[in-house]
Amino acid sequence: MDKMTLTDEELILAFQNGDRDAFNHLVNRYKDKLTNFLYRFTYDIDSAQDLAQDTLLKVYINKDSYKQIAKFSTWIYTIASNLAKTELRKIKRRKTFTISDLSTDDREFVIHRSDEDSFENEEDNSVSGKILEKCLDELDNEFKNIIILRDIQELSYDEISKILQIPLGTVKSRINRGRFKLKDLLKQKGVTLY
Amino acid sequence: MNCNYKDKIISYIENDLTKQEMAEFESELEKNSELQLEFNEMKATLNSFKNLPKIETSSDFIVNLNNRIDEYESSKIKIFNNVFGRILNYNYLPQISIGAVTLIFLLAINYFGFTNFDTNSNTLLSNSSEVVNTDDSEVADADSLVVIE
Repeated sequence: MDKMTLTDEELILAFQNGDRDAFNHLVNRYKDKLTNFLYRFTYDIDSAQDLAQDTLLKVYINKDSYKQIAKFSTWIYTIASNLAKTELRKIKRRKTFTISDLSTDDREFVIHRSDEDSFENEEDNSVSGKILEKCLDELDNEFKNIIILRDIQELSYDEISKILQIPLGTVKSRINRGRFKLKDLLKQKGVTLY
Repeated sequence: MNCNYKDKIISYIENDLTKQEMAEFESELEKNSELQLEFNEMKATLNSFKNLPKIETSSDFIVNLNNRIDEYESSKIKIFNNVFGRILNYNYLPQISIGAVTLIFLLAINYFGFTNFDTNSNTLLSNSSEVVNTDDSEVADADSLVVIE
């Protein structure tokens, strides 16, 4: 049987029945998606890849805890999202520790993400990826997570509601508020939106 | 600007309005320059996601993942070996030997005890079948008596 045509749910079922090749197909389908998703939290490719591997390893180890009632993507993003939250907490603790440990003189040399990054693409004046990343990073986590899941990972409202365990109505209103906040942030940075 | 229309910008972009709501929104959009500005800005914001750089995993991603899976699998074997290795450790050998002999002894008693009981019950059963056969032969005799008559 050609595994390329199988759905994620069929592949995980085959893996649960001992087909290791089915797992490899799932890895190929999700490795880039997961790394992209996790990169939006860590802004570091290496740790995003590590977290993507952690997610896939968890899928491998806990394959039997997946039940066919849920979509596979919902399950895997839930795992990744929980790992991202834990990692963010660690990064926050590390940052607080490092900066508070520096002397006053040293603090002046702490590198901030540059505000002088080019805000718009020189060729077409559209919003550059860098500045969009910066604005996304400035959003509160509740808006940031939901925008990443909807507008970057392109998941359905229903899936997002299950992953974040919040009602569908809350998902919709939070995405809308988040998008308006993001638009205002872009404008504050002097980006022309048209 | 009428707040109702601002709230409907995203629903309109995502095709999430009824036909009537859509028509109302479009007619408002034509005449309301402030709404037009908000609408265009929101569309540009949503389009900007396409400009985010796509991150691709490195070529050794799968190799590294498989190494980690192998490590996990071998750690499982290590745990198994640790548990059973400790049980079969020489320090415990006398206790294990005594336990094994006791177990064999108990099994032997159990087996032979039940075999004897089974032999007795078979004898009982074979006796009762003889009784039945005797009854059958009596019936046969009775039939033959009828024929003679």
